[in-house]
Amino acid sequence: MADIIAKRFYIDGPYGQVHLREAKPLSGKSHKTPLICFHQSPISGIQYRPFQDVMAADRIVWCPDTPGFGGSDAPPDVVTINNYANAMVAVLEGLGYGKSGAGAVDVFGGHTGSVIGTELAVTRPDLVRRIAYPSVALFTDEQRTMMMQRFGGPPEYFTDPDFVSNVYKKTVLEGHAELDPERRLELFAERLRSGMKAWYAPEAVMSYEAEERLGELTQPALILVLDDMLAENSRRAGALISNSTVVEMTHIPHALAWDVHADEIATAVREFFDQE
Amino acid sequence: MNRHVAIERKYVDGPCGQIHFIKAHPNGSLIQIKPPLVCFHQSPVSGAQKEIAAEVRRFLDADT
Repeated sequence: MADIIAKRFYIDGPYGQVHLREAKPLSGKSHKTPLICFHQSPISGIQYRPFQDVMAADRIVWCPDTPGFGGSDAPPDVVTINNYANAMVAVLEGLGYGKSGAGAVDVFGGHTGSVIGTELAVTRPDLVRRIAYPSVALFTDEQRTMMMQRFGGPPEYFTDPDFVSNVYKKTVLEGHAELDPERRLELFAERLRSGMKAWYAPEAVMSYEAEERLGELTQPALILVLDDMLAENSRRAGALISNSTVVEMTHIPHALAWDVHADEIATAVREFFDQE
Repeated sequence: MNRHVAIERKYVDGPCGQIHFIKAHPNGSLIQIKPPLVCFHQSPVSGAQKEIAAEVRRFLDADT
């Protein structure tokens, strides 16, 4: 690992505390624009940790937990992607960024994080300089219906005695062999933390007008097309964004991108973010 | 949630890295009256196992 320092802390948000992990160069200083990464649900910012540590060699990198996931307090009821984006406005302003602060940051977001990043960039351009997507949650109507059937409504913790053991079997015992077993266990435990409100995020994603909002994006955007269920969706998103670059990286499985392929992803992302 | 109690989660630096804890304290002037109470949890659970109504004490619940 590069010479970095990392710490976790909380910032007050609209639903209580937002938990985040910060990593930065050992010197504590960088002239490069800070980066904030928005994760997919139902995991948390912990998803990006190896990638975060690589990127932190030369800049500050924050990985917050979306409200209701990881260590962040949950909203009291179903929310919208705009609500999640507003929570991230509170985080960035709490960190001292924005129009009246230190200016804009760079954004990285995949799956749920892709639409939170998009909404943040469209509604608060003073907070977002550039945005990179490792996948874009841009769904067709048919896919929305299928995804709602799969992820809509509270998870079956109390109605299906095999629910947890099935997830454990799939993600830990039979998970990607390239990931250390303890890392698989860590990610499994993290996804349980969202509890009965885990469906709030997919509900918000499926209700989000991604096509319209991506067309309103003015910041330069990088789309990395990984080996992922959203590969074709991501290519389609690239065509909607006026200033986008699409890079094919389908040799990288999305589930391994942040651990096994962190260096390669970081190289591509760094090249994009280091442009003026 | 008890509106007379304020709860926040925090980290402090320890010898093995950061230590996470939940701090609960009464809203209002009672905070000065009694000494703080620190609770150490059983393992393998964490400090989150206790739902505390810290009506009259500041309360620190640390994750081992």
